Amino acid sequence: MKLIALMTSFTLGLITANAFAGDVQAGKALSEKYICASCHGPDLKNPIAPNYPKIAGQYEDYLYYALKSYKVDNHSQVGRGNAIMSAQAKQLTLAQMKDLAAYVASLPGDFVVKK
Amino acid sequence: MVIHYTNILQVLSNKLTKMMKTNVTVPHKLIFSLSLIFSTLSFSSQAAEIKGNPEAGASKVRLCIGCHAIPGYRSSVPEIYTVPMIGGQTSGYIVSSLQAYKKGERKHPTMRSVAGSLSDQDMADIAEYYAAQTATSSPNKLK
Repeated sequence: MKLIALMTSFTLGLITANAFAGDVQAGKALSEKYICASCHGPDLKNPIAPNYPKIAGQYEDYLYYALKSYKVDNHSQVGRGNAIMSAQAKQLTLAQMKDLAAYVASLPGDFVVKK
Repeated sequence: MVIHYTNILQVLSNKLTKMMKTNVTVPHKLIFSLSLIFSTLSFSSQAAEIKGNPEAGASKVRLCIGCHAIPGYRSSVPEIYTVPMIGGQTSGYIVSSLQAYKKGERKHPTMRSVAGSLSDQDMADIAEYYAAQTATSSPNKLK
């Protein structure tokens, strides 16, 4: 009996836990807390300035990588420096970045992959 | 003692502060104040007068399609992630990204070599080409 319970919970744990995926709901709350929409637009695909990117629907692992790069900031080989985004990213933990990336990736976006 | 400055703004503002405290003549202070103002202005202006043409861009994407047009293609530098989708991205962001790669502000080595080979006009054309792509736009006619 105990063995069955153990195996069930183990299997359920395997099914629900994904090595990469962040929590979309937590990401939504973070997106509202840090007001990503203030620059990227209400649906995160209509940025307020022509040189700001659309982000809705972008790949989750790329978004996570981008947020990490902003947090690292300027370095000779890695990282991205950007006054606004670095200030945002430095407030986030890696787990929060995963959640945010999962949320933004889940939104409908304008992106296509074409030649 | 060595102080590391991250940009020219800090250099100039530091110099200005020192100048204001000393008995340096007024013209010197004026020149430095003006140079501080102008360097701030110059940060916001870019090669924004160049207009991109999406039709011209269609013939300039040879270097892009090898990574950005293969669904699920991944980069491994500095870690593994999926190469971002650029079709439908804002043209201004594509241009500013390419400029950042060319200047070395962004670090991806393949992107830096690609961007280094592009002129400002090339970047504008490519950016307009990708910004115009939608789910229903026709594929590139060139091979």
